[in-house]
Amino acid sequence: MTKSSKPPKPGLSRRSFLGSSGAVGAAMGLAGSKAQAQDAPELAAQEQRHISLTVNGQRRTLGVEPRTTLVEALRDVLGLTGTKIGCNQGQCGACTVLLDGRRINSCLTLAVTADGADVVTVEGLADPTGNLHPMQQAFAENDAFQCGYCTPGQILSAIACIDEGHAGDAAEIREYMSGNLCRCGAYPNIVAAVEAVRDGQEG
Amino acid sequence: MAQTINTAVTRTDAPRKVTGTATYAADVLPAGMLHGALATSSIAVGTLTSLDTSAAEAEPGVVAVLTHETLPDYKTVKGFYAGGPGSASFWPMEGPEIKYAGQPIAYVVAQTAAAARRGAQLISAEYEVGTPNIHMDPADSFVIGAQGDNKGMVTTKGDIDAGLAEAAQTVDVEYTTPFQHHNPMEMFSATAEWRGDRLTVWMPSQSVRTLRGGIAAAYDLPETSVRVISPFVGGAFGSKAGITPYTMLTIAAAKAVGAPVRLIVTRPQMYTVATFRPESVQKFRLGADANGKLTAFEHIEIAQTSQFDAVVNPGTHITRAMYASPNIHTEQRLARSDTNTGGFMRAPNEMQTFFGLEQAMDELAHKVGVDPVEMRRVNDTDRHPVEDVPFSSRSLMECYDSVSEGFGWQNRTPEPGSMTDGDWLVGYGCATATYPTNILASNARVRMQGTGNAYIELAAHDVGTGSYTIFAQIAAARLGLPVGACDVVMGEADLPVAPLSGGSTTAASAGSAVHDACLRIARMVATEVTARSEGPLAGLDPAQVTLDDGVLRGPGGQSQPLVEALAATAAGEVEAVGEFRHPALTDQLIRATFAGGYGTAGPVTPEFAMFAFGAEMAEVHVHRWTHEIRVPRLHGSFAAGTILNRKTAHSQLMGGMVWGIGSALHEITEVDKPRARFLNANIAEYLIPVNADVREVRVEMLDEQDDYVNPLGVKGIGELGIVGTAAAIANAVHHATGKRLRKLPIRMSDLV
Repeated sequence: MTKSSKPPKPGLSRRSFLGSSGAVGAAMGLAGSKAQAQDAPELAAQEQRHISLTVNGQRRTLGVEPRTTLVEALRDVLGLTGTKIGCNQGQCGACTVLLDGRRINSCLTLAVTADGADVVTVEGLADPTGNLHPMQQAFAENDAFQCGYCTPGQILSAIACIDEGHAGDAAEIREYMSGNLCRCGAYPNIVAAVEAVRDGQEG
Repeated sequence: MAQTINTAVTRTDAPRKVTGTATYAADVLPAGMLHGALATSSIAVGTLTSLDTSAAEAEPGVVAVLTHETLPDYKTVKGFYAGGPGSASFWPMEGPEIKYAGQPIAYVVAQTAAAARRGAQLISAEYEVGTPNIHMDPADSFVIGAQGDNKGMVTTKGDIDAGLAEAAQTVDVEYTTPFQHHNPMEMFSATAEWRGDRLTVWMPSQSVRTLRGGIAAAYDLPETSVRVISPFVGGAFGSKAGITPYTMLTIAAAKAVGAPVRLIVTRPQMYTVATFRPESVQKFRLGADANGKLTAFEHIEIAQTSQFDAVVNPGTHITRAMYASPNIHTEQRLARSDTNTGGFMRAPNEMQTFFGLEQAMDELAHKVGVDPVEMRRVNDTDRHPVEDVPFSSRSLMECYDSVSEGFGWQNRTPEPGSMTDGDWLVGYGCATATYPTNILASNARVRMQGTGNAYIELAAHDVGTGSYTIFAQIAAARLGLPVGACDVVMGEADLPVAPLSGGSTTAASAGSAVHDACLRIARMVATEVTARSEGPLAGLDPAQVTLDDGVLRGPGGQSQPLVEALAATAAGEVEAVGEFRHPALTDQLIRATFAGGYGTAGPVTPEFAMFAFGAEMAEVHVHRWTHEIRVPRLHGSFAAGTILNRKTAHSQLMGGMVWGIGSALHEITEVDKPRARFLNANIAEYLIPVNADVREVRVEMLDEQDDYVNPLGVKGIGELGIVGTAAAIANAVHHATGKRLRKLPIRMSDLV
């Protein structure tokens, strides 16, 4: 654990951006209140911790703040932007990755709690020669997306759905894929893709 | 290669989308990038009296806090409905004035996203608080046109009162629809990087040229100094068209701190920093004779708008085109309340108005005692009922016949509550869908190489609609190349002009420009190879040479594949800019599109009325004891001219129908009335359909030829699927239960 030195602040000094000073307290209850302000130093130590993750089969060591979420570590620290943020509050499933084989919302997972874990993201599904994972292939062929934004999360969730044994029939797939929202409304095609991979694996 | 069009082609961008390598706006990480976060107002109306930023500034990692007093200057632009590029005409942080809840009041820049968010939480504001109204008062409504006049916003044909008086049956009913939010899965974001006076903005956009033009105007920059990049968009549905406050604030913040800044708008803030579907009231008075034939048609739409814009989405212009009636009266009205400016959300003129119209028709059919499908048949028309021009094509009843057969409409017994399945009450409902064929000017550049490759470039967008794929298909079909050999480059403002991707126009308008570019390439190649001394076409009159599915053909049966002919030319490569200029487009409309605006002609021209049509049928199950509502089957048949890609078109129509399920049963932005705030501002409490809500959705696409709309015969389909769904479900709920529900969304509690 090392304490990082803060990089110099770019551009103008923030002191030049002071607004009307002196006013304290929130008359109408903005989220930030006086009480929260007093807690701030403890919450925002800015102390970096070094963690190590196995991401898509590769050992990676990285420095994160205690408050950094796994999805932010993947995207902003490791540059693995295939994992998407759709709500950042655990509601939509766009950030789904496999953590030690289980599907999780990486926006609700602090990176430090994943120290030592095995993480699979959408970038880790194709084989080293670039052949798509059967679920990736099935999503493409079944047009199981339109905009593609929820797709990495859907694909990882779909792989886990089969692995968990929750792909028995269409109704079960629909139920166990309902944690991943798709605003384009590709659900019937997502179910078809999961069925295709399930049947391919059985056959 | 002719088979390229109207077949099921897998998306060309599918490999990128399933591997996570499609680059969305927030995936870019410019060197030295900082993170932005918004603090927003907790009150709806009033004035900031103080803003304490000291705690935020003391937060480790926070670099700067911008307020209305410290924000760098830029010129504000007008909102879309006032003819400008903005999402609204009122710009926050220009002063202390607060006009809606969730209005940005400060912008925090920090080294990490977490620090920025924390900084935003630490800002304290004091206000002088006014008294807001978030709901419009329909009694205080007024008629206004998009240009500030009343032109076209009131229709009168015949005598509506006389028509009602002579009717055998009448309905006089009112329907209401709520505030709704687009909620694309991709959160709103903007990343801005200044290098001297050159600016690059990455932002998910339905209109990169609107963005570039507006940003350049705001900073007095030549457009060539501003790059706007948006290659992939994670859903838009109307929410990513104009320049929003968060765009402008991020650009200003990047300028202030001298480093690139990225803002990802939080999901709750997405409810207030961009647009939404305004709430509405739909009033119908219809009269029919004993056979169900309309004698009177009156529709008055009252839609909500902000205090500072007039959001005119004229739904009455669409409803009045549906059915023949000798007496017609429509009014397009607005009423103001204290929100940010709404806008266009998937089928902005149609979703809410057809929830009204198609239930009113069902109510009237029930009173008259005719089958609801027959009700539409006796009122079908081949001429626009008001404008009195023929439809360029209208296959409404073909759609009804198609969907009836597949759905099994003949099994419906007319009496409400007469069909059951165990403890479930079963209802069948139907509704008409339509969408106007809007026409906009477009250009497209195509470069073809004799080695068998083509590059298609235009400032259009693929918001999930499949544009990358269909443009490649069009070029492949015309040039005689495999789809995979046609690379499409889009989503950059520097590319040839293409219109805003909204109003279901991209395939029809931009696609026609791609088509035209290919024809120009053929003419150029023909001119060169006919002038040569050797070759199958040597010596022919180039004017006599035609292009037929990638093959140049002479009048005497001579032929040569275009790619071979091109390979024989001096350069072995050719480039052409294609244009789509429909005769209905005036110079003014073309210039509007070139300026980044929305210069649309149609759906009614002096010659024709242009609409796509569809018919939807829903089976609804309502549990006898719990009143749980389920939609086990939803079928739709649609006729929208040429279907370019049967796979992506199917997905668009199906997705629209899923949206319709959402509108019918789930979607409403609830409000905290005393404080005029949106209450369920997240994607768990704002309900949208999840996988388990969607069972059988069947889509049929009928063949329809329309040579007037554009050279490809394409009508838009991006919005068509949603239009009839909510009414079909509401009608089915009535059929199942005998209860007529005139308010969206329909909930179990309405049936208790």
